Amino acid sequence: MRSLTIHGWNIGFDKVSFTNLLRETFAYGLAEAKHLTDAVLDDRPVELHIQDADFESFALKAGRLGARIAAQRPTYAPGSLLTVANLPLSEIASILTLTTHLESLPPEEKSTLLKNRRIALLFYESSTRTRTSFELAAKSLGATTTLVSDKSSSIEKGESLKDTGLTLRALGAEAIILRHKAGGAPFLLARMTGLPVLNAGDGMHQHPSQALLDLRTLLQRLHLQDRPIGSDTLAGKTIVITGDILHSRVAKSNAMLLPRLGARVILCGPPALLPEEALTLAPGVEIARDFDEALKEADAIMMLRIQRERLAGLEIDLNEYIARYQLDQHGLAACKPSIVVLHPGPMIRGLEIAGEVADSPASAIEQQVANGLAVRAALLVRALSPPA
Amino acid sequence: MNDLLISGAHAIDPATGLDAPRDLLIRDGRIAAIELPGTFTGIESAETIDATGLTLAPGFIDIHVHLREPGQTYKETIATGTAAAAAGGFSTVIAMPNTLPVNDSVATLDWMLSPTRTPRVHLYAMPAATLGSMGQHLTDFEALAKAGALGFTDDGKPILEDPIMRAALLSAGRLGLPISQHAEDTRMTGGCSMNHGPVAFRLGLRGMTVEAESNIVERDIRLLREIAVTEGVNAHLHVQHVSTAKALTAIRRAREDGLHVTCEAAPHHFTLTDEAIGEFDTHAKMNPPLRSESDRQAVIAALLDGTVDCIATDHAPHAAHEKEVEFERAPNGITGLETALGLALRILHRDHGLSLSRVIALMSANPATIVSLKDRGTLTPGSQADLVLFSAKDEWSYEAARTRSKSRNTPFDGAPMLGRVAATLCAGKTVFRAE
Repeated sequence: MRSLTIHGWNIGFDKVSFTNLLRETFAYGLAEAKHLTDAVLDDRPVELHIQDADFESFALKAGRLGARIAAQRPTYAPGSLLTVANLPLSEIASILTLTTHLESLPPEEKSTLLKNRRIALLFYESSTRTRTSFELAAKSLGATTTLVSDKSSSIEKGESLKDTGLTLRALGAEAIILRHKAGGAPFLLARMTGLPVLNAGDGMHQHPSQALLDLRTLLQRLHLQDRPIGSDTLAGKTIVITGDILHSRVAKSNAMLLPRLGARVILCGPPALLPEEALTLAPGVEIARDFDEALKEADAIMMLRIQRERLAGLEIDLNEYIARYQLDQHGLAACKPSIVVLHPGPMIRGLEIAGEVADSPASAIEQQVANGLAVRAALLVRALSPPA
Repeated sequence: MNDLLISGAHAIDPATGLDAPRDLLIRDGRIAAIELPGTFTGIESAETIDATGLTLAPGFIDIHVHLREPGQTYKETIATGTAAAAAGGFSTVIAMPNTLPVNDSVATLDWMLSPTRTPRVHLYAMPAATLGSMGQHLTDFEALAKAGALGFTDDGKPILEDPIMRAALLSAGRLGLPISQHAEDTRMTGGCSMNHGPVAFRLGLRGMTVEAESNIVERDIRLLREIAVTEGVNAHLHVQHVSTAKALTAIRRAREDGLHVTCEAAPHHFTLTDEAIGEFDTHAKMNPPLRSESDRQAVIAALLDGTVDCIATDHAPHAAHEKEVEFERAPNGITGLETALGLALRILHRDHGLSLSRVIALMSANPATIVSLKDRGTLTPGSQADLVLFSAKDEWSYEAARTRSKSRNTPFDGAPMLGRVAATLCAGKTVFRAE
């Protein structure tokens, strides 16, 4: 049980619907529910005790009806995916199961699942893979999509994220996929619109759909896809994530997610791009400065690009970086024969990764892209399915 | 006769060490007498406030508030900000100069301090130390002092250039007034929106290091020392809202050396850490930022050992639409006047055993000393009848929706408070009374 206190009401408070909501949620009689609604109208605090399972949905609905929920942690529409933090393993399992299920459907059947549903793609930062795969995934499910980019919309005229989100909602968007330069922007959008929001990368914070597609790729390449998702699914496997960890939302999402499935995660890079704070991402995460040593331990390696656009004055000697941290054929040869190489893209051949390595059989880079399409289709179905 | 009798209260006056039941008589806006309970029975025509069960203390003094007037009255006005002050037990507030226009002239200062602004409590100001708070040319300290300035500050915009800061300290020191510095080396904090550390890393936000604060404090102390040696002037540096152990260490050392350094701490810095940002809550964004738990503990320790002279709220109202934006884009600051006592008593008094008298000193006698307000912050007969009555044991939850401020940007909506203001008096007039 959780408790929630309602402190008064906002303009537009819908007292009839609120009374009905109380009756539905708590099986109150009409008189009892009306009595509580009167207390809310009177600005008297009303404390409610709610089953955990009903909590989020009630808080969201009550908030939408204009009840003022005090000192309440913000609530987000079910089906939102804002961060991998606290994403239950059971949710991860069901997303991956749904992904496989959708893949198995004939296209004509798949294209009815979200028929005539409206999905907005809101992009404040450039993207190739993420945007295209979300868009193609939505279309493969029959949904109507619209793309709003900061460079060709009223965002250029100074419209706020809140108002942009409310406008999309008023136009009928039922879910919003957001990429944004600012960390946390998807949380704001989800709070302001009450819509399911899928975080397609926010600043240097999170890229949860990327972590899920990386997980699927790893499970496939390590022949673990038939194992149930649990705290030991990746037990005994070591994943080395190398490069610009500081500025990478992909690294953060993966380093928070993979240890929860039992993987050993080693982060590798120079101190300027990999500060000691990274150890706090998840229990058991390790830092290695010696790339060659880390490679020997790896079952999979994830290479990251140096994010020039976020360096903010930080000077990196690229020749030295390449000498120490580039994954080239020599490094690849020192790895286990079964090594898997991942890269979330965009990759800069010749910098963090040698072209030959990217094109080698060890590379799972194109498989990651294909999984991006599949996993994002599942995330869209999840976002637009009514809560269980 | 305009006598007013407050009876039945437990009076605490840190300035005299008084901590006992007393009745207090007010005449012509001043404290006429403070005596054992029952002494004044029979005084005719005295209006009586029954303060049974309440603590009576000198009205609180907040030397660091932003009232937004002139220029940003959609956030706050002098009238609404000082109404919030009264509700929080403050009878005197000092307005910072970052208004539009910046308060850097006698004309603006006069306008701000004019009774037509209808302040609810005593209003003073610290004008800008440099023109436009641009850090280049000193304002006219002498003229501003004559017009009522209690010190000078470029709050929010630290004075970075050594020669300018040196000149400011020296000029203000000769007038016996403090330079109040927002200690932040802004050359080190570009693009930063919170404290540097694990939380910032996890949230992908750029963080301000503790050195960005301590470097400026250390630099200012060095200048103070130079001035003492070369000019023979014991200038007064006041460090605003100290938030780091490192800066506190520097302040402690300077005081041991006999330098005139004072400092303040804000309730949010002794109550919250950067973890309060949670899921990018812009109501936990302020400057200096919420710090780590070890820095929070250092601020508390410095309040307990006397290194921190006073509590100041840095009350910084912002409109809802300004805070409903991406974390990095949100303005710094939270409201604080109505939550200061409740947090100070909860954290410092109950959780850390600081006596009620010491908490009251931090909010009245000590700030009065910093800005040399002579007849404030005490219950001594002859002083201004600036008083607060509060129930020290009342536990309650703050409700931002009920604020007197124009803005509701507080991380303390629904937060537990200890101690609730029952009434605030300003020169003998009741300016706030709890419903």
